[in-house]
Amino acid sequence: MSAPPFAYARAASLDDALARLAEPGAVPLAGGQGLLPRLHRRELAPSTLVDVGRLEELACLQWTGDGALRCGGAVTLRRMEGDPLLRERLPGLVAALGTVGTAAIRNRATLGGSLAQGDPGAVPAAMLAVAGAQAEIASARGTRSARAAAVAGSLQPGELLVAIEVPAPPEDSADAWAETATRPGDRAELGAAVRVALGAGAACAVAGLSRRPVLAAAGSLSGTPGSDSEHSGTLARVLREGAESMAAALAATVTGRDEDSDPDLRGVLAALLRRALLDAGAPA
Amino acid sequence: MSAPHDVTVEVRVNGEPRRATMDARTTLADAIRDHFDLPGTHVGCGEGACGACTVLLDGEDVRGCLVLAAQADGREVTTVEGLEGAAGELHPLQRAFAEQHALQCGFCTPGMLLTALALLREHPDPSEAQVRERLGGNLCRCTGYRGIVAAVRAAASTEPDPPTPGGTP
Repeated sequence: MSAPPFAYARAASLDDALARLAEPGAVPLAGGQGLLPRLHRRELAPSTLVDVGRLEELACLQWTGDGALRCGGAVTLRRMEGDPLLRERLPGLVAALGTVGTAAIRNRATLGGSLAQGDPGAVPAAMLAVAGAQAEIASARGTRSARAAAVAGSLQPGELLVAIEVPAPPEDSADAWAETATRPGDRAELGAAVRVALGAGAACAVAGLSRRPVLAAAGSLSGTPGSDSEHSGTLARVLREGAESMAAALAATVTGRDEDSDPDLRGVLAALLRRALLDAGAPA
Repeated sequence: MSAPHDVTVEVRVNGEPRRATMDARTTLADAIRDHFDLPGTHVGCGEGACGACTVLLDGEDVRGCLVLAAQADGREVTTVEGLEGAAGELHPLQRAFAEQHALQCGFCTPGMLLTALALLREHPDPSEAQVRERLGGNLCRCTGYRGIVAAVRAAASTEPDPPTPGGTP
């Protein structure tokens, strides 16, 4: 046993979880794939781990009337990957989640846990940020809503990430993820989530620079609307032609335009963004 | 005698109901080894990077070092000891590992076997790329992986529907 001593309590309901989390030093435990390594390294010393992994209230994976996805905080990444409708509607997100760790990790790792932990290289936080996702956070004092981009690693003691709502992506848009990592499945040293939408331009969320993803937007993508196949064809063509300059613009925005900014970082970032933009434009 | 942070855990391990009281911070891998006396599950890095401690939890491959035993309460666990047949014969995967020289020191083997079993249940006839992708989180410092990949593919072709030890799904 390398973790410091703690008590374990399995929450019987969301209210029970929130009451237990209101106690000093209590920390929520969902899949544990981020938390347990930190405990084994003794980076934190909770009084109690409140197990929320089996709560029905955190297990939903459903679509609202306007096409948004509501995903419970304790839904595992593998469950999301295996959901046919999610694969169809948010293919970029599903593909990006598939790069997290290995299947044995994703069988336990949860979307809420990853976002709440605020791991700098985390894929979910960056992908949710470009998708404009909102997090629903509850505590014994009440419920609040926060942008996914701002919530990573910012939860206060007593708070629990109950659900994440991902709005329906705009027409003629695509999401993608590109990263640098020592080996496939390793934590990304630097990662770029992108969303491209015809007529709206490109947005990126860069992981690895700080605890929360760094957001930037650039350019506008114009194309000619037409049939479905023409739409994707147009997006692909626009990206083939514009990925290079768009990536450079996004990288410059993220790293800052001043003379002192790190040219190597900017170069790597531009290359990553270009790869992500081309992936987003590649026909499925 | 029970310490203040003790928990009592009941699981089915390889089909057998098991129950033990242990410190709450005990991982599933440590519980399997120290409380259920099944030393076949090996603990390497202790932080999910090496895959040696991989076991099946309700039929899914998980890192035994990244699950608390308390989180597995009420669940089904399959370890390498659960792979053998009723008469003690080797599981087709184990036989293929032996035939294909897929192990030397054997430290990583239990984790490799259970990861491969989970893969074969999802993909009964996996491509080499699928095998390499799924085993990408299991480290072996002896074999160079070639024999391991060959063994998993050989087991897939000899045994399209591997038996499900311990009654796991």
